[in-house]
Amino acid sequence: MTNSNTHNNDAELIKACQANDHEAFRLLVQRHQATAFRFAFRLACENADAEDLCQMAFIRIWNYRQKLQPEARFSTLLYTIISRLWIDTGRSKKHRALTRHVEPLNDQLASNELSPEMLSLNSDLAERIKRLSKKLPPRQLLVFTLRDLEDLSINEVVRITGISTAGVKTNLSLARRKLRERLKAITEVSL
Amino acid sequence: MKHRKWIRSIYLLRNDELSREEQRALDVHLNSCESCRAVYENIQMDWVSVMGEMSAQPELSNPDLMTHNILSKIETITAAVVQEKTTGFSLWDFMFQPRTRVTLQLATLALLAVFLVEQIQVTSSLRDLEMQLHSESYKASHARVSFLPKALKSRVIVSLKGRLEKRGLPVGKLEQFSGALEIDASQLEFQDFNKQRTRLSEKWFHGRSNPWFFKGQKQIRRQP
Ligand SMILES: [Zn+2]
Repeated sequence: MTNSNTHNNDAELIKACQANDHEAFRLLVQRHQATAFRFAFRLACENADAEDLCQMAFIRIWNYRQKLQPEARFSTLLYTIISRLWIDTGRSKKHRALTRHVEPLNDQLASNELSPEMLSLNSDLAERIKRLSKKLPPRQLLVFTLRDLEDLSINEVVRITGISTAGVKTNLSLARRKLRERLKAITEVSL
Repeated sequence: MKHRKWIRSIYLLRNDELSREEQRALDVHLNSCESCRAVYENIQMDWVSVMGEMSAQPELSNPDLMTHNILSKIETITAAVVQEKTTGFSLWDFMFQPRTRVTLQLATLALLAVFLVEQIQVTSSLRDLEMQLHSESYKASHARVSFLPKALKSRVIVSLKGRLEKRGLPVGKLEQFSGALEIDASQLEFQDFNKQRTRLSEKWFHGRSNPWFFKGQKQIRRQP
């Protein structure tokens, strides 16, 4: 299915949801939950929190379905709601707290006692994200995640975050500089 | 780095992140400044490593479970909404509707105003009556008491008698007045009122700020 087909189809499904069609909503969830989870995980760095954010986002969409514009991009809506939930529910602060207590890279490399969970792809990625984004304020992490990890255009990031174009670019530039410097610092330590 | 003002632009390294003017200015500077060009190239290389660290795709372990959880929550919400609609009138919700609350508040204020006006009218007409009872011209209709129940009318008379006696004034006309109100004045002194009820009715007639009323009342009761 092409992107534009998916988009048209989303509009039809949203209209069906507005007529209280649960099956249409099931299709929307099935179609977009992987994207939602991926984004939520990159922000929350935890499976349970990411799943919570996704569920809350979809339920919020259902509750406000009558106010949705079917022609608007569903993924943009999802990104917007997850971003707000991440900030509003204090999970962005939790992320900051988590990243403050990340062990140094070489300690982790030296450690042979990794839990089975740590071995999974998600927790491995979470550790890497936490390690690098240690000094990023939520706003910079959000802009960076949307632009560089989710590969959205600057305009979409502006629409989702509600930050001005210049603000998005400044946050993005700062985020990239801090991430690069952090990676260099970690690599130098471990070498 | 020497040329700090170029830092922001250098990190905006992906397509379309700089405006055309910004891009042109950066290109001109990079062509003429070796140190900034070196930084720019380093960043481009380092950025590959940063993305390598962070760009892996996290996986949703059980998509079916998530769909199921979301849909079942939505079904619960819908069922609750339907139940709310079908159960119809809920007194609790009705009482907390803004319109109901405002109406009740207004009604309470209106009743309170009526009550206060009545209090003032009854008190002042009782005072008028008391004055008139020892003057030449008095009329039972001067006191707005004819609308009261018989038992309360009796209390008015007892109260007035107490006041008049306390001040050494003649009480003869009071019996005439009792007749006008269709009360048997001879029975008045023997009525045995419930103390609590007496107090309530006294408060109704005289308000709380009438200290001598109660003294007069006690004197009447002590009489054999
Ligand atoms: Zn320079």
